[in-house]
Amino acid sequence: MRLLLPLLLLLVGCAPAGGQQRGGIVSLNPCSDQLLLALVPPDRIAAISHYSQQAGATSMPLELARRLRSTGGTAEEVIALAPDLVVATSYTPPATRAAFARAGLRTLYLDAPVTIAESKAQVAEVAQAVGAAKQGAAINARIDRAVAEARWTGAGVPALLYISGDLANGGGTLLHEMMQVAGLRNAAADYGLAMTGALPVETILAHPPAMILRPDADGRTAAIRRRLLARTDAGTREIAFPRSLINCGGPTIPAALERLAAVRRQVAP
Amino acid sequence: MKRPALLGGLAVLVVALFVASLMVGKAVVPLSAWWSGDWRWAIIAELRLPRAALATLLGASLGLSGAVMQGWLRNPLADPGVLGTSGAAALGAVAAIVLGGATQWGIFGAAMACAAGGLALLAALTWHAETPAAFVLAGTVLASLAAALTAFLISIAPNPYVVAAAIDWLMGALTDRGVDDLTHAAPFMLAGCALLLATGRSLDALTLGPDAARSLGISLPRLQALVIVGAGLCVGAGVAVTGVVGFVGLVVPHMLRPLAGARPGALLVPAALGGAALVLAADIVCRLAPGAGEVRLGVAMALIGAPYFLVLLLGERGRSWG
Amino acid sequence: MGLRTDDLHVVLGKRTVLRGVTASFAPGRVTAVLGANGAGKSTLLRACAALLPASSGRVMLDGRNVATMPARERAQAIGYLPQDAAVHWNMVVRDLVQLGRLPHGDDGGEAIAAALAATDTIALADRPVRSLSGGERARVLLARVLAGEPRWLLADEPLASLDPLHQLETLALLRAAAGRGMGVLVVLHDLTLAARVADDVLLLKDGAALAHGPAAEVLTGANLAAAYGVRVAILSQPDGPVIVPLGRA
Repeated sequence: MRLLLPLLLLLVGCAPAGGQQRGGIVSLNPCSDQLLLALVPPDRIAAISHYSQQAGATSMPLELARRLRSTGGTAEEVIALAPDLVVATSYTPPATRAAFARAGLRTLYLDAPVTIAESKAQVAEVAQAVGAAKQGAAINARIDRAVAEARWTGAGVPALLYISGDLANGGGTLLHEMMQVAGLRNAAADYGLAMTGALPVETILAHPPAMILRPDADGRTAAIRRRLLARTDAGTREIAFPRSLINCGGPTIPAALERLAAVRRQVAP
Repeated sequence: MKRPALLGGLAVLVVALFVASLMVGKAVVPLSAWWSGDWRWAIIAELRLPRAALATLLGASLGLSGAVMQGWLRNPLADPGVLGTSGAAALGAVAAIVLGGATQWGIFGAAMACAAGGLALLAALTWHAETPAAFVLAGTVLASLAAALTAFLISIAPNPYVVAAAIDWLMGALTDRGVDDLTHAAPFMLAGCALLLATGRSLDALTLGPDAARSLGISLPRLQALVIVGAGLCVGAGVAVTGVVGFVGLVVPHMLRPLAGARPGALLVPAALGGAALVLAADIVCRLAPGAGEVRLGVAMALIGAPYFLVLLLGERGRSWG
Repeated sequence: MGLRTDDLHVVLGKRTVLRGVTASFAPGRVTAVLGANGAGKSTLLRACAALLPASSGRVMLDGRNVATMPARERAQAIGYLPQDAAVHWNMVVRDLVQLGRLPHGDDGGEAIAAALAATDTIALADRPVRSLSGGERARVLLARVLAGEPRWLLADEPLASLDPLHQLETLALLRAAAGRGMGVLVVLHDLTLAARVADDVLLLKDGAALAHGPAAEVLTGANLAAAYGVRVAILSQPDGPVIVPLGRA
């Protein structure tokens, strides 16, 4: 017992090793991680979100992500880095926000954009905040070019996009607008799904789409859905769609639009 | 109410709801398509028929488990969940979803394995227990532990989609359950129901208390084993295939007791039929709700159960005040 | 052919509740089991019904050890009426009495009718048990035991919470049962009623048999003082002796 107190003090005093970095930008979300990397050089980034270092959740190249420092998103870690700017989503818990405010940190909270226009506005906002307005304009120009190239004015090809497992992408989302631009008609929105949700197999069978885009081949209902769709004469195809193109807007939009257009060209050249 | 009339009425209700369940769904299948080569028959045969059969089995298992649990614990408000098996099965399923392996077989296997583990733990904790209180406590320990571990698993989920999938599954649903789900779960549920149906006379004797029951030749350890294994199989297999569906085991026996008589053994078969009817009816309502998706079955059950108990409470207060 | 205990020891937890009780009971007679609180009366009955294990010694029924008899045979031979008049569900009287037939596995319509008649509860047959008065419920629970047609009836304080009229009626029922050839062991607290109904008395003190024999011989001032620590007055009345506690011995 007498050794316990000194032992505890010793443990408390053992702070994690690491340079006392100060300044830079801390990002707490994989989408803003990706945006920042497109706007500023890596040495200005103090830390990114730990999600960007996991294969299933990242929107940036893993080797690059692993070279950067990451945080778990707690106020303690962020404040210890004494950054110039903290970029996070509007879902940041109130307690964490209050902690940032008390520490006097400059913060930028971002909503999830649901239209391409909103996404471009967000790119411009973040670019302004980090003093990289030119790079922001360049990203938005790339987005405009991608929209122009992918745009299809013919009849939309009905398509169902799964974002993960059995979760489908409905109307009112960024992906929905991108699908429309690329000439794909969002079947889930036709079924009445708003935002994201699960769709019963029967609903899909009643009006089968021309194609199903999905990141994983297996979901709980994938097998039975495939079996029954094969019985219809709709000829629905299943096409892989990378998960990394699903999660974020901003710099991901050109790549996503390109892929969607390519998929549409398989059916309607 | 006379017993043949009660059983006949409930059986007719179950059959009627079963047929109605085949006719309800998001897709429209005209009668001409039934039993024909029309591919739409596959919707009936491969989606709605197994779903209705599963709903019937699930409801019967839960209703019967509830009736037996209430008889065994001598408490009209006992619920099969008190054993903690549903929590354990849910833990297994969420573990499969979060840690990978969220395929049909994967989720079922993990959930049944955890349910079996939970039962074994319960048996070990209550090896020489004399009173129902010991079981309720042990079940609470198990349920609390399972709930804590489930919450922990959800908190370490690698991405928000996995969290959504886990929470969605926990709410309980019969959506898109097919023949495979039925063949996985049916043997366990049927075995569980068979064990539970054998407890009738022992439960009747327990009305007089454990000493008098033993003096009538009833083996209490045998009854305990039948109840735990039977209810564990029923509830474990149910949760493993559909998620957590509560209230059925609590509401159905309670509702039917005035009609079937207070004798615990007389309530078993009516509770099974009534449970099947309730789950079939709720599942129909889930599909009739407007919108692209279906209402979760567990949610629908809670929305039925809570008002039922509010009515009971108001009636009870009226009795004690009047 | 009787019920007897051979050097019966019963230990519950850390306490030795019965020490070496050896007693023999004959069928067709009513034996009152008397003693102070904690003397082991209920324990003796429960051991005889094999509801408790004997730590040493045994209980023999017609030459067979009750603990090793098949449960069904034992249940057919011995009818046990517990002290707590527990009825957990509001069953109809007829169904409740029918529970007594469980060891026989039949409907037992005749036995049930006879039991209802003997306890004068035919009029109550279709009523839910919770609507009955205390005395009526006690008679119904006794009917349940009688419906099993046991050869031995072990009743643990069947008179508790009954008014004087119903106490006398219940005792008359026990007498009649013995008259039909049943062996009856009944735990009682009221000494006068015990003197009235019992052929034999087994007097327990601290788990041991203090005296066992015909009622008139056992119910003496000296024995009762030793067993209860109480001075009593025994007054003769035409219907039987009246035993009244006077003060500490």
